[in-house]
Amino acid sequence: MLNRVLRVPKKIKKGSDLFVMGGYFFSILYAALIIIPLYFVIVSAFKNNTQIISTPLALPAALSFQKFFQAQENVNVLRAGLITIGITIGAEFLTLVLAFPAAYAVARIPTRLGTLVETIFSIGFLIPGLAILMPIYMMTAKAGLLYHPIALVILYPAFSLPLTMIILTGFLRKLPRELEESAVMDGGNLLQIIFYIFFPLSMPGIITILVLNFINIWNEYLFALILMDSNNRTIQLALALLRANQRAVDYGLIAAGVLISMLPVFIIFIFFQDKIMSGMLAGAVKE
Amino acid sequence: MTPSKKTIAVEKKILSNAEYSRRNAQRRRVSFIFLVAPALGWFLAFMLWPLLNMFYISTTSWNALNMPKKFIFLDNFVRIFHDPKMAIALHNTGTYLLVGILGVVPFAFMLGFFLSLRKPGYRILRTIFFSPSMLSVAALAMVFLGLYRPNGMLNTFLTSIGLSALTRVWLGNQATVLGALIAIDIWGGIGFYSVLFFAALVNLPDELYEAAMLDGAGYWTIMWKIAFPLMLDFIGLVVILQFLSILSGAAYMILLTGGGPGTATFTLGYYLYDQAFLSHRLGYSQALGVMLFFIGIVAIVLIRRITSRWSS
Amino acid sequence: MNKRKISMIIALLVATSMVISACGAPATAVPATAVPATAAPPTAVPPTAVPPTAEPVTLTIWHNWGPDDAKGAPLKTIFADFMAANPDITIKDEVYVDSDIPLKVETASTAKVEPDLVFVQRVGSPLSWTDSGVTLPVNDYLTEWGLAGKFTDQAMSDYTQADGKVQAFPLEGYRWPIWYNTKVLEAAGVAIPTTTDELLAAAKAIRATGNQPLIASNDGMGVYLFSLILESAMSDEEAIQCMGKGDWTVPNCIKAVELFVQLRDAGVFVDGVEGIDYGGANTQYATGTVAMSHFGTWEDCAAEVASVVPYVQLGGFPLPEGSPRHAPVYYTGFSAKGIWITPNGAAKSEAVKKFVQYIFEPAIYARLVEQAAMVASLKEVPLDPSKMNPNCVPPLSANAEVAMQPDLFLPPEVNSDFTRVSTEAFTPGTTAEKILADLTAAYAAIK
Repeated sequence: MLNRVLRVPKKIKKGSDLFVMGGYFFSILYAALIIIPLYFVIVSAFKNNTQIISTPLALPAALSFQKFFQAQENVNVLRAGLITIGITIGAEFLTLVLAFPAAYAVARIPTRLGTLVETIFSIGFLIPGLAILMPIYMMTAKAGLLYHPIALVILYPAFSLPLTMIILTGFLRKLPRELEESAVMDGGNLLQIIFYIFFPLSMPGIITILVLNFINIWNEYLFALILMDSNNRTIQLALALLRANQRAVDYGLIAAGVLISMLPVFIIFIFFQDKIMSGMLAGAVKE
Repeated sequence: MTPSKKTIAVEKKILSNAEYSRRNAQRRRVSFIFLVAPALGWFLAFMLWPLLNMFYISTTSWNALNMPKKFIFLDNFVRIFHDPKMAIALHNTGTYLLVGILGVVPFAFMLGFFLSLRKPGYRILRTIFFSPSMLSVAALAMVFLGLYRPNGMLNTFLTSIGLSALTRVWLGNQATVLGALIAIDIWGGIGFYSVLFFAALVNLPDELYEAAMLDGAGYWTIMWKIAFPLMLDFIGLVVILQFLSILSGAAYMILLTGGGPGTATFTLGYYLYDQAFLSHRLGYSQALGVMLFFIGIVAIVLIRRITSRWSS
Repeated sequence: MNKRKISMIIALLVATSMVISACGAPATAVPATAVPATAAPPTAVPPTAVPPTAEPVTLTIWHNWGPDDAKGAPLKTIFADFMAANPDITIKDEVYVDSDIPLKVETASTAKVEPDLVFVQRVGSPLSWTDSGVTLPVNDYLTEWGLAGKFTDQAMSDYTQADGKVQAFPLEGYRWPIWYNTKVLEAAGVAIPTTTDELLAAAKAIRATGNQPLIASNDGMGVYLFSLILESAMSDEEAIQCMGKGDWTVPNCIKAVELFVQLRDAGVFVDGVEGIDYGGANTQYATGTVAMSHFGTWEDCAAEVASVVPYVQLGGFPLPEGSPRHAPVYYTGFSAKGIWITPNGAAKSEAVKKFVQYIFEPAIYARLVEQAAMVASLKEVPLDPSKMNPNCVPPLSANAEVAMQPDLFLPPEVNSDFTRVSTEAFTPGTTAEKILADLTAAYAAIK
């Protein structure tokens, strides 16, 4: 923005500078509010209960990784984390493959069926998970996929589709009409057009639903509980076991488990953040 | 279609306008169905029957997964009307919604806008803002328990800066407990949605802002006069997301307060969970589910209408 | 980023996800197709007479005694030794969160893939399992497997339904007394209180030394202290009247609520009790600055309280004047854990019989008592003092009377409301009248 050299009136520049300063101030304040509890979790993983409760924000006396090893030994947090990541990647991919062509169709192909389909997906939004627990369990058992993570990879897209459809359709609608026409002139069938032209241009929407779906899948407990066994726990099941295996709660142990589970997520987020953002900016440049 | 394109017929025959449009519509419909079928089929397979099931069970009296159901028509819904706990749940949920939406959306938007300016350090800020979402609900519960305990971090902090008069038993005091839970949502929600707003805003062309600046507008004006109107649909979507998540949400109530103390944090979402898992009234809980379903529909329609009217 | 890169990244993602998902163990956990049993008819189902066979059998057992539980280690050795003695039987045990097990069992049962044996409490939905066919009554197994007279009377009665069917083999009992930290009491110059007056005096003295008297949590665990205090002022019959049937006009019941409010307002509970969770209560007690708490046997050997275990003596809750009780009250019972047999397990009755007989062999069963201070459901358990776990609290030796555990007579529909009223009760400022009014309303709502 103002990185370029512009002849902007001094008063406006000053007002904007004030805005930026204010922006930094509140951002840093909010960031601190986030960092402090996270810091609490991190240092707790190295302490025992008494220290955690009486001096929560003090640095640990010694950097003993005992709790981490114990969390791993008790419920195999790493395995649960990897399984969950695998499920998440698979489900996200499947959701995208299913939803993107459909969203394109609803947004850009003018037929009356479009509104009907959109309404159907919107209704799915409102279904509480508890209601469909039993039928889905029976279906999974009949398909012989009980206790296999693939079952969740197949199931979760059904949950993600409503939101994904709504968001992707919204983004696709906004893109200019001329895109189809210029693509038709260049030749190429519909699927090619969708994939090579519309897909890169919808990156903001795609990122949005990737992020939203990720959160929902990562935090999902009920269906993972019912459809998985103790060998194929997802990360939430493993963490819950750390806590409820004993009424006398070892907070350090839980903190260690939480950190182990967050690590892969963090790495993936940071790694893909750069790649996706740069892809997005490239897509934003007008041809 | 321009007249020149109209003459590009699929067949050698020259079709009339009407005939061409009809074939075109047909072809469009075929393409449409072909593209939509996988997603729609997937969705219906998992959601349609269970949804109908939910409506069906809401008309029964059913106590345990393996016990028989008894058909009682709309008795469950009549019961909702006379249920004194409904008024409490509605009141608590209403408060939660009001504070939870107003406390998140405007601030998330502003922070998202600031991030989208891509000032130095925005990447770090973005990661930090997003991190609460990476914590599982159980981890968050542990953190906030540690914060809200009578001798927890919040009270200790207040005492250390001389505000010990403000210390409370946050989760035990009926006046503060609901606010304490809402604060958890706001704490994570602002950061989460700000990153989403960033992703949406960053795609706006630079020239838009530059033109406005040359016209004499500062960032504040740009944020509200340019970015905001362009984002109205997305803002509406965020409001809907927050609304639905709060409406059926029960996680913090389950983990931290059990709906109490007394009925201070007794919300609709918690009521549904309570009836299904704790009080073993599955039929009634599904009736509550049906009610939440319809509230959700009304909310979506209303919010959409408001944002579309606003943007015109 | 050009198209090739996008394709490569997508291919990479797909490949990764497939690899990772495929690494999840395949469904070997699904039990061999058992003969599906019909929903249990009202009469007990006789065990199928399966001739002894050397065919390999796998028994699937679900429980929650994982590595963090003191009973986890001895249980593991029991499984291992059993398998060594019975090479044709494999035990596949799975650990789940205790409160999740009923839901998992019920959903699995509907698809007929439930585990063979379940170790779970007789609380909540399992109460209905015998009637709905999720599990089978064990009356006939008791006689045929030679276990009929081996359990204590209380264990048997706790696991017997009103219609005479025994729901499961009682495995573990529990004790839920008051923990008295004698060191803190000595510092305040008081003995373990046995009456309300002594309690009030003790509270004052303890606070004077800078410590806190009685800690509780304001959640699903604290409600049991609430009901224990109520029951200290009434007889079992009166408890059934008000706490069971909702009649809060019984004089002793009203007195009980007033007693609770009196204790609260006199500062018997720690400061901020209305906002403490169970974990926090535990930890605070372990700091050695609190005199009394209400913990159960699951805490007896917990590492978190190890620092105060040497000073702990167990006792009941002090009685008010005029109480129909004879000694301080505490909870005990046998609904803590039972071994439940499902239709799938019944089809493997030969193997199940061997296992059940094995674990209830006094010498084997003793391991659980010695190493985890488990409350025994068997009548005679030979204990080797040298094997006793020194980190466990010594058993209850004080003069105390058993009060009826609320789970046995509190109607399940009123459970969560009752808990919410108890959280109100712990909050300063709530009057006895309000508590009684809310209790009456809660019970009226379920009629």
